[in-house]
Order: sequence, then structure tokens, then C-alpha cells
Amino acid sequence: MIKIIDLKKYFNSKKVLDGVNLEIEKGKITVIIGRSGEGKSVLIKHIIGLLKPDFGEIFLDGQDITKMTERELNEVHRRFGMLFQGAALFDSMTVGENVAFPLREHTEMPENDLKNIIIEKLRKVGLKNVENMMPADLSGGMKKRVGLARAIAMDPEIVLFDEPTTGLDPVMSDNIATLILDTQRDLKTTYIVITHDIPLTYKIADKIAMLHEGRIVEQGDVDYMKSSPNPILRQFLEGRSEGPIKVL
Amino acid sequence: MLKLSPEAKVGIFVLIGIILLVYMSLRVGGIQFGRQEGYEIFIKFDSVAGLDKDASVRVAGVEVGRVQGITLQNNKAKVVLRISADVKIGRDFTAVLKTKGLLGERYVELVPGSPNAPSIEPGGELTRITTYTDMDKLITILNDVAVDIKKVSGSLANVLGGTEGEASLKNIVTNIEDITERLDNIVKTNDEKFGTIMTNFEAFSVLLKEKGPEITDGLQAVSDNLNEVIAENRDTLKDGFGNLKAATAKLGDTMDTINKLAKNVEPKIDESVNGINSIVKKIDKGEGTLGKLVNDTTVHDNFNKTLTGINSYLGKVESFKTFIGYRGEYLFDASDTKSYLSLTLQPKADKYYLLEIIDDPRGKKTTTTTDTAVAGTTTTTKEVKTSDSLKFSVQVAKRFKDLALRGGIIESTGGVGMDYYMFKDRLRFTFEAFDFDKKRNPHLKAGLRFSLNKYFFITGGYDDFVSKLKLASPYLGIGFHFEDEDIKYLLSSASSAIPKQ
Amino acid sequence: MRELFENIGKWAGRVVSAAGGMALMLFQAILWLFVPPLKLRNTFRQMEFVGVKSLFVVILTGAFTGAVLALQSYNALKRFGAESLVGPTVALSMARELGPVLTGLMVTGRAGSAMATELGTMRVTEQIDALYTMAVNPVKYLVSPRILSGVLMMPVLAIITDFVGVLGGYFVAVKMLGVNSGVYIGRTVDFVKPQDIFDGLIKASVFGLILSLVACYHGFNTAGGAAGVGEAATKSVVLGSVLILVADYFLTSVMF
Repeated sequence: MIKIIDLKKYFNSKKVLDGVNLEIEKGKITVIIGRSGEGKSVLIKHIIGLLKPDFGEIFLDGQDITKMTERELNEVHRRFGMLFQGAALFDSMTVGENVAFPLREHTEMPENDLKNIIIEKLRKVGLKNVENMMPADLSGGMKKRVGLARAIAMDPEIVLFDEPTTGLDPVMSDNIATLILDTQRDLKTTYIVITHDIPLTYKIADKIAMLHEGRIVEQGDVDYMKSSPNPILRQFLEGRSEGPIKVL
Repeated sequence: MLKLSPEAKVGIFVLIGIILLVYMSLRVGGIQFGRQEGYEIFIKFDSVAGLDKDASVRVAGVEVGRVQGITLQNNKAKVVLRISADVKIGRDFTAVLKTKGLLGERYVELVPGSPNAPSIEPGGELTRITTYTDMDKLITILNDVAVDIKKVSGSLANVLGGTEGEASLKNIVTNIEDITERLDNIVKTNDEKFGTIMTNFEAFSVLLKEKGPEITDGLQAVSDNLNEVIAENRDTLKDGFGNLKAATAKLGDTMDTINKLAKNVEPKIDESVNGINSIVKKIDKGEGTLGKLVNDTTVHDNFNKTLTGINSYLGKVESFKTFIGYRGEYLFDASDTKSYLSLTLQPKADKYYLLEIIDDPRGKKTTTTTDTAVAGTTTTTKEVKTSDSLKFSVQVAKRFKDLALRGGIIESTGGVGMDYYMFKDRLRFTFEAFDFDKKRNPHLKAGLRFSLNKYFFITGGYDDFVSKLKLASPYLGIGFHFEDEDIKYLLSSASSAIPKQ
Repeated sequence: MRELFENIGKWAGRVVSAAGGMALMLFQAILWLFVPPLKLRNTFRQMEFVGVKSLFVVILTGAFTGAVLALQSYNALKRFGAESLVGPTVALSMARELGPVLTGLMVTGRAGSAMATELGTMRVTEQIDALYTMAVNPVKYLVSPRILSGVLMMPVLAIITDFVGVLGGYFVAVKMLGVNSGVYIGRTVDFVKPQDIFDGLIKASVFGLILSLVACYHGFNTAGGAAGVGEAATKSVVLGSVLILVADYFLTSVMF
């Protein structure tokens, strides 16, 4: 579905992405792991077109999105949903309005249908009677769930998750993991998750890719990754501070 | 409280703004919708410094239009005014650039002229302009004038300050009082007569209008006849010229006789000349008020200066003109000449003051009653004798196109007159009525005056044709008049010709 | 020494890129205004925020400015015996200069800083990115309505300031200083032309554009969390106010 070829990105002569090659399969959950600050967010922003690469290509169903005009990219965005790290809910709107936002912007749906969809999507992420609350009144987990509801409101083909469990307790993290799985299974949507949460990764991943020093150092399914002898991967998965990954 | 949507709030808010804007602009500007109403006229100014487009145009301080545009044309500023359709601007309106307040904006004031002047057509030009020169210049001129006036008043005070001056002033005042009283009486007693005169005159002019063509036809016939007569009488005319020659020869003889006569009279003339001389000498020495006035050169100079100052100032405002003239009219029935010395002050083209001193050979009328007793019956014979007298006229005249009406004092009595101008003012028909007296009818005088050139004219007519004094007489005369400019020129050349003492 | 030149170079670079960024943002904002669908609801919300909610502060500013003007000009003009000119002085100053400029500064302080803060927060909490990923152009959704409402609401606020200012001046001059009311109004009507008011409103409109554009630009380019948001607000107020005063000079020199 998505093919990333030799993607390079520099920020002020600092190499962030140094030739990323990655293929993302349709209807699967791909989890990209790596240390904080390794460029996972940068990679995901390239996939959605928020950032332009300095070098390389990203193909979405054979079309290079890095060469697209704003207008074409705008069309592509309708096929995407994204859950941001901080949920990125519009704090000037109620929860209901947040979820309904993409629908209001892109469809001429009558208010009644809209209301039903809001309730249904919120139910899917396990929330009830929160439509009229403001985002500021929600807890972190609830925000994430509302963000997920908004991300899937348009029934997108691809949903991107930026650190979906950051800042949540383990119970809430597991709850989010379950929700991700549940929502994915219904529609067989392509999910791309970036995280450094190993339990979450093991729970949801169909395919794992390890990003280190701007490159994909190892990729494969959960079993392959668990048994891979790659020292970098081993150190990361086992959470040790000594090894080839230097802590500065 | 009513919950309003953002749209409604913004709507109300904007509405308030628009209402305030409309209110304020209407208040301060009187925005004119459909500016193209009214009509345009234009004025050419030498300078319109400070005048802006859309500046207001006012008559008597009331805004009647706006300045539509200002363009340069032949180094003059052509200002196009848009005037409200219901306002008529007369041709004799005067345009003045004025300033609102001391430091305010400039605007165009149109000063009305006479009420019966024709109005300017749309697109026409208003030609009468008053340009105030720079404020500084004006102030300088006024300053000079003020200084001059001060000098004059100082000199006058010197002259009139003495007991002599006081006495003469008193006299003058008494005389003026006397004159006004008499004038008043005259007007009172003759009110009715005036009416009839005017009615008669009207009737006369109607008649003239109706009979006009007939008269011209008649004139044509007369001239035709005259031609025929001349053709027929060529020989006779020749004879006539022969006779004329003989007459001239006789005239020579006559002249000799006059010469002889003059020789006899000479001593007498000498006497009078001596008398005049002594008077002139007295005046010259500065004896008497007149003498002082004439001799005080400072008075003279200052007066001149002041007049120049005022004239140069007035000249900018209006063409102030002064004329001095003389004419003599030979009265056939009296075999004597009536002389007029006149001063015309003309502050405006359509208005003037006429001052005249008249030497009338029949001015003084003395009625002698002689009782002759023949065989018991007494016959009373009344005889009017006339003798030479000086008279004066002071008249105010106003001109309406080709007709001028004047009135005031004519030949030392109340009177009115009219002049009708033809052929670009070259020919003038004059009619005067004065000396109203129930017993012997007013003194009427009618005549024509034809200008030969700018200075000289001939005149002729019929004088005093209805009075019961049997003084009616046709007259013929010649005269001249000079404008002040010409006089100045003459005077300066004359004074340079006479060596100064 | 080298550091100094480097700093100057950096500063110049920032100025140039800010100017370019603002021009580009303005261009996009205008362009997006004409791409349907028009975000009317958003625009009205911004209009309400910029216009209606600034009403109170603007009325206060206008009233007191007019009052002070009347007081000051009365004291000055009295020395020339020209008290009758207090009305025109107040009205002309308000209409041509103080109405638009003070309104501009007040709205910059109130609405401009709020805009920068709001957009800055949206930037650092990735709400702007979220808009983008939901196929909603952030410039069209956020910037165009703000600039439009600035351009449209500022003249309305300015005319209200003008009016309230003249009222304030009237109150002080007539009720407190004893200038004849007929003279005050009459002279004002004599001297002030509609063009004075209109020119002032055009100024106000330009100021509205400046303050909203500067605020949007700084908000949009916020970086560095909560501190960055605060910095964006400060910058937008300072730069907005300065640019309004600079633009005022040039507009005045062009108009009058």
C-alpha cells in the first residue's frame, strides 16, 4: 500500500532520516519503534505530507505523494486519519463537534445523521454522554479516545498513530491497545503506529520496524523481531542502557 | 438574556457602525446624491491658490453649488462651477475668492448685481471678478492710504481750524440745509406732476414705437426730395455760393468794425482783467480760505496721493472713472451761449454722479411790472427780463442697458432726466425736466447728442419748450469731455511746460 | 565583533523571512477566500470576537480620548481666543488620526494577542497539523476569517470610536468648559468633510489587516511550547503596534 524509498531529511544539517526504506501492507497494523527523538514523528509526518523530504519517494498506491500539489495532497488526506500525541483536539469545540469536524468539513450530512455517527464513533472508543463536554474537561486517556474517534470518523483507509499511549498509565495503555485492535478489525483498515511502548507493540503489531539513526535497522513480524539477534533491536526491546545504542 | 448567534451580533454591530457613518457624513458634508444636478458656469481667475475641487460656491453666504473642476487655460485658472438648478446667476454678479474664517478653507462667493440683469446661460462665463491681491499687499496699500488720509486731515484741520474756516464751514452747512429744504419742498409739490410726466412719456414712447417705420419712411422721402431739389436748383445754388462770397467780404468789413469797437472797449477789459488779477493775486498770496486751500501745497499733494492710493485700490475692485467735460449750447432765440462745465464720477459702469456748473445767459429772470396810465385806464404790462447767472447741477444716474435715468438738482432746482443711447452710445437722446413751477410749467429740454470721437461731440435740440416764459429756443452746441487718465496726462505735460517758480 | 555581525545577519534574515512569510500568508489567505466553500460561520465568529467584543474597550478609549483632546485643545486654543475651534480639533483628530490608530492599537492588544495565543496553542498542540491531516487547509480555516474580520471590523470600530470621541469632546467642551453648543457643532460641521471620515476608515481597515496578519503569522509559526506561545503573543502585539504606527505615517502622507 505505502512504499517508502530512500527517504532522507535534514534539519539544519542534522541528519534525521538517512535513507528510510519501508513497505506498509494494506489492512495490517505496522508499528514503527525507536528511541524518542530518532525521527519517528518526522517519518510519519512525511507519510501524511506534513513535511517534504529532502530526498527519496513515498508511494501511496503507486502515486508519489512527495511530488503532489497541495490540492492533490488534500484529496489524499481524505483517505487518512491521524491520532496525534496530545490528541490535538480543537479546544474551542465540544467533543461532539471535534468528532463531527471532518464530516462537517467534507460532507453535506444532515445534523441528525451526524449526531448518530458521533454517538456511534464515541461508543466504539468506549465513551458515552461526553459529546457536550469540552476537551479541557477530559482526562488524558479520554482525550486519546476522542482523538481516535475523530480519526476514524470518516472511515479512512489509513490511520496514523503518533505515540498513542504516551503519558497514560499501563491500564489505560492496554485499554487503548484493545481499542486499536477492535477498531482495526472491523474495517480491516491499514494502521501505522509509532511508539516506544513495547507491550503495546507486541499486542497489536502485524509488522514491526525498528528505526535507528535515521534508518530502518530491522523489520518483520512479532515473532521474527522477538528472536532477531540484532544487538540494537535486542537492547531496545529488552530496555537496557548498555549496548550499541549510546545514551548521551 | 436573549442568546444571539455570532451572525446576529455581528449584524447588529455592523448596522450600528453604518448608521453612525451615514449620520456623521450627512452631518458634516451633506453628501449629494446625484451630483450631476444643476448647471455649469465657468470663471477665469488669475490665481485660485488655495481653492480646491468641491469647494463651496456661495451667494450671500448660502451655498448654491460646488467647484466642479479647476484647469489651467492660457495661464489662467478656469474654474467650473456647478450651480443648483433653482439658482439664477446674473451676468453682472461678481466672483470673489473668499476664505472661511481667518484660516479656513477657500470658497467662491458670487456677489449679486442688479436684480434685473439677465442671468448666465448654462455653460456661460461669469466675467466680473474681484481679485484681492495678497493680504500683505492689501494691508500695505491700506496703510499708505491711511497715512495719506492722516496728512490730509491734518492739513484740513490747519485750514479749517481758524475762525475764518469755522465761519466758512458754517456757511456751507447752512447752504446745504437750505438746499435740502428746498429740494424737499420741490419734491413734495411736484409729486403729482412727476406722475403725469412719466405717463406722458410712456405714451410718447409708445407712439414712437408705433410710428417708427413711418418716420423712417418719411425721412427717406425727405432725403429723396432734397436730392431732387438740389438737382433742380444747381444754378440757384451757384448763385447762392456767389452771395456767400459777397457775404464773407462783408464779414471782413464787419470784423474791422468789431476791431474798432474792441479798441474802445479795451480799457474796460483792462480794468476787469486787473480786477481779476488782483483777486488771483490775493488767492495766490494765500489770503482767504480759498487762497489757503489753493496755496497749501501739502494739501494739494496729499490729496493727489490719497486719490492715487484710493484710485489704485478702487481700480482693482471696480473701474472707477472720472470725466471732466465742457459744452456750449448756442440758443438761437436768445442769441447767446449757455456753457456747462461738468465732472462725472463713475464708480460702476452702470452708475455715475454728474456735477455741473452752468453759466446760463438767461439764468436770472426778473419780472418787471409797468403800469401805464392812459386816459384813466391803467394797463399793467409784465415783462420778463433775463440776465446772466451761474447755476449748478448735482445728479445721480443709473443706467439700465440703453436707458439711463438721472435725477437730483438740475440747474439749481430739482429735476429729473433721461438719456437713451443708440448706435453703441454714439448717439444719445436726452430729455430733462426741472424747475417745476405750477404757474409757468416746468422747464423741459429735449435734444440729441452725437459723439464725433472719444472727446468731442455736437449737440442740438429744443430748450424750455413748454414754459410760459416764452423762453423756448432751439439750440446747437459743441462740447468735449476727458477721462481722468487723459487729464492727468494733459496736466503733467502742462506742468512740465510751465517753468516752476 | 564577529558575533555582532553574525547577530545582525541573523536578525536581517529573520526580518526578511518574516516579511516574506507574512506576504505569502496574506496571499494564501486572500486566495483561499475565493475557494468555496466559504467559512462563513468561522468568519462571523471571528467578527464577533474582533468587533463586538472589542466594543467596550473601544468606547472607553474613544470617550476619554475625545475628552482629553477637548481639554487640551481648549487650553491651547483659549490663548488665541479660538475656543470655537475645539469641536473641529476634536472631530478632525478623531476622524483622521486618533480614531483609527487608537482603535488599531487597542484591538491589537486585545484581539491580536488573543489570535496569536490561540493559533500558537493550536500549533504547539498539533491542532493545526490535525486540521491539515483532516484535509482542511489551516490558512483557509484559521487565517482567512481572521484577516477578513480584521479588515471588516476595524472600520466599524473606528467609526464608533470617532463618534464616541466627538461625544466625549462635546461633553467636556460644552458641559464642563462652557463652549457654546451651537458653535461646537456648527464649527465641527463646517470644518470636517466626509472625506476625513472615509480616509480614517480606510486607515482603520488597513490597520485591521496589519494586526490580524501579524497575529496570525506569529501564532502560526509558534515553536517551543507554552513559552513560545507567550512569545508569539508579545511579538504580535509589539510588531503589530509598530507596523500600525509606521503604516499610519505612510497612509497619512498618501491620503492628505
